[in-house]
This record gives sequence, structure tokens and C-alpha cells, in this order.
Amino acid sequence: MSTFPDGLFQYGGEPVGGARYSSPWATSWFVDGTNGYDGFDGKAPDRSKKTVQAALTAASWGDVVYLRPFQMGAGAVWPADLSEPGYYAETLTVPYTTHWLSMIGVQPGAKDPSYCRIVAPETINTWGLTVNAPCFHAENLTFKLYESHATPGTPYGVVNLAATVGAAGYSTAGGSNGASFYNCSFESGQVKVRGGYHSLFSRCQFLNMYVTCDQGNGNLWFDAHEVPAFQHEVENCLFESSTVAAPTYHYVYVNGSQYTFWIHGCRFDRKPTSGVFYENYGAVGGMMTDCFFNEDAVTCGTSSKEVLIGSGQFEVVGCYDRTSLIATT
Amino acid sequence: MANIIIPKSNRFGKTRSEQEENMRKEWGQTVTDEQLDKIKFLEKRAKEKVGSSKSFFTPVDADKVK
Repeated sequence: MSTFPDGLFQYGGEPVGGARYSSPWATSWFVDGTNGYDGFDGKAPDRSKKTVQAALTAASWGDVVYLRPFQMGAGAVWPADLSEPGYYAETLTVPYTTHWLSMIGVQPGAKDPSYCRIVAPETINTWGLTVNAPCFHAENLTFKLYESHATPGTPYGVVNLAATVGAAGYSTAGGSNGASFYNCSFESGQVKVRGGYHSLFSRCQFLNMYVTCDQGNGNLWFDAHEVPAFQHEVENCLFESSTVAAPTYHYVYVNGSQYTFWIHGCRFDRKPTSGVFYENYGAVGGMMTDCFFNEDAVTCGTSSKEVLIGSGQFEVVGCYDRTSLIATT
Repeated sequence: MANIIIPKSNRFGKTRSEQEENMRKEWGQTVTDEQLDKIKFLEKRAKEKVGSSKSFFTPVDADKVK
């Protein structure tokens, strides 16, 4: 077990047994948008699938899908990005039976998630990635919305962690249970987490590249108005405005029956023009710690503040704006 | 007629570190060198603790190693 009270391990200490996403019986699948072919079995880099969905369809629970980025200017590109890698232009679904799946982007070096891109379509209420399976895990991937769509505030999303399972009614055994995203970039589209419990966003970026892509309910929306939610966590993430203007709407929006929601170590860029940095709507319980807001005179409270804590027991501790510690509630 | 049952095995590697080292010979890397070192540490400890040589740690776990 951990040798530190906060759960950290140390060299010489003993980890809590096993891995969170251990999948020792897994099959590895490989996707190469440049050289792959969906007729291949996808079980080796030189027999890669061409599309991500082909690998997701072939995979079963506990498997790992590795994605190779496109070369510069190869694959699907848009004119403004000819100097950057192409992208997988797909609408992806992880079915309920494929729980415990890991999807990992491979990088030429360093830790840049932007190399391995999955781009959502320009269709309203259609998501780039819909996860219906528990314990989904993603690393080093960019989920991006194609930027030329229209109205700000409309629900164009890049990732939907859906808690609703089939026609049997709501279940907490859906895609928001135990999902984790590490070193991922979400650009110009919404990430929605519906109910469930124990999701984690760690070291991710949420970027508002284009004001027209602002989302009415935030870049990151934890929505528990239909399904209750427990112990979701956001850590060490960056919420960034575009280089030309502050975003219109919230960065993070949390509503419904949320219990023990925790956000810590995050950095928020410029204040939205028609929203707030962060909003709890309703009786949200939890804590915000060690966050930074890139504005002056940021305050928190239940109304007319830049950080809205809602009516639940929610603490804001050790958070700073550009000049000082913001008021602890 | 004999049926050959092929168990669901992973020839790419039994652990994250094995898969990472194989991946670096193919397409590139998925974790940093420091994270890989920490993952190997976790795998070693997990093997000692539960006796399994198979595991799949992520950088989320590696980052908790100090």
C-alpha cells in the first residue's frame, strides 16, 4: 500500500496491488490511417486496420488499441493545417460490451497529444466519440471539432461519456463509469459526462480554438440531471481560450445530483464573456483546490461570481487569481 | 480432426513496459522515459505482491510514483 497519507507511492514503497486498468488477457490492436487496411486482422503494426472504428469493432473487453498519427499533410487535412498531421475523420462508438478498453495515441516523441487526432463531424448532437462502456481509457489523443460550423452555444461535441444504456432505461454502468483521459486535448467541442462515477481527466487540455465553437454548457460538462454522479475528478488540466478572444461560455459546468466532485491543480485562461470560469448548478458537493484563474479579482459564491459553487457543500480552497488568493467559502 | 485452441494471448507484450519497448521499435512512444521507468517499478512490485507477470499500468499510475 501507499507509504504516503495522500496515496502517493515512492520507489521502495509498495504500490496498491495491480494496475487500475490492468488487462493482462488483452489483445493489442493497431490502427494506421496511412498504411493500414481494414481487411487486415489489425493485430500487428504491419497488419494494421485503417480506421479506428474497425479496430473498436474487432476489439473486445480489456483490449488496447494503438493509433498511429498521420504524417504531415497526409490523411484528411483542412487547408489551415497543411503543416500539421492529418486526422482520423470518424464518428466513433465504443459499445457497452467493449468495456475496459484502452485507446492510446503513439507519438513521434515528447508528450504532444496533438499528433494523433480524431475529428468530430459538423453535425449537431453528433459526437466524435461516444463511449457506452465502463472503464474506457484514452491517452495522447486529440479530439477536435471541425471549425467551420455555425452557431455558438449549440451542442457540438467531441466526446460523450454516456451513462444511458440501451432502451432499458438509465443505468450507472455506462460510459461515464471509471473512464479516464490522460494527456488528451479537446479542441473546440464539448466533452459531456453523463452521471456515473469515478471518471478522471488528468493532464488534459480543453481549448477554445474558435469562438464559434463555444459550447453553451461548457467545454467540460458533468451532467447529472438524469443520472446521479459520484466522485468524478479533474486534475492538472488546462482550460484555454483562443489566441484572439476570450470564450463566450463556461469552461466547466457541473449540474444535477453530483456527489464528491473534485477539481484540483487546473489553470483557467481568460474569463468567458457571457459565462463564468466554473459553475455548479444545484446541490453539487465536492471541492476545488489549487486552481489558478488568469484574471484579477476573481471571487466565488452562489451568484454573480466568477466561480459559482451552487447550493451544495462545495469548498474552494487554495485557489488564486492573478494577484491573490481568492476567497475561501 | 484436431482443433487447435489458440488462447487469447498478446504477442506484443504481457506488460505495458514490454509493449512500450516494442512500440518504440515500430511507430514511436506513448509514455516518457521517466514514466516508463516508473511503470517498470510498478510492474516489479505488482509481480512481487500478487505473483502475476501480466499487467497494464498507465501513466496515471506512473505519475503517482514519487
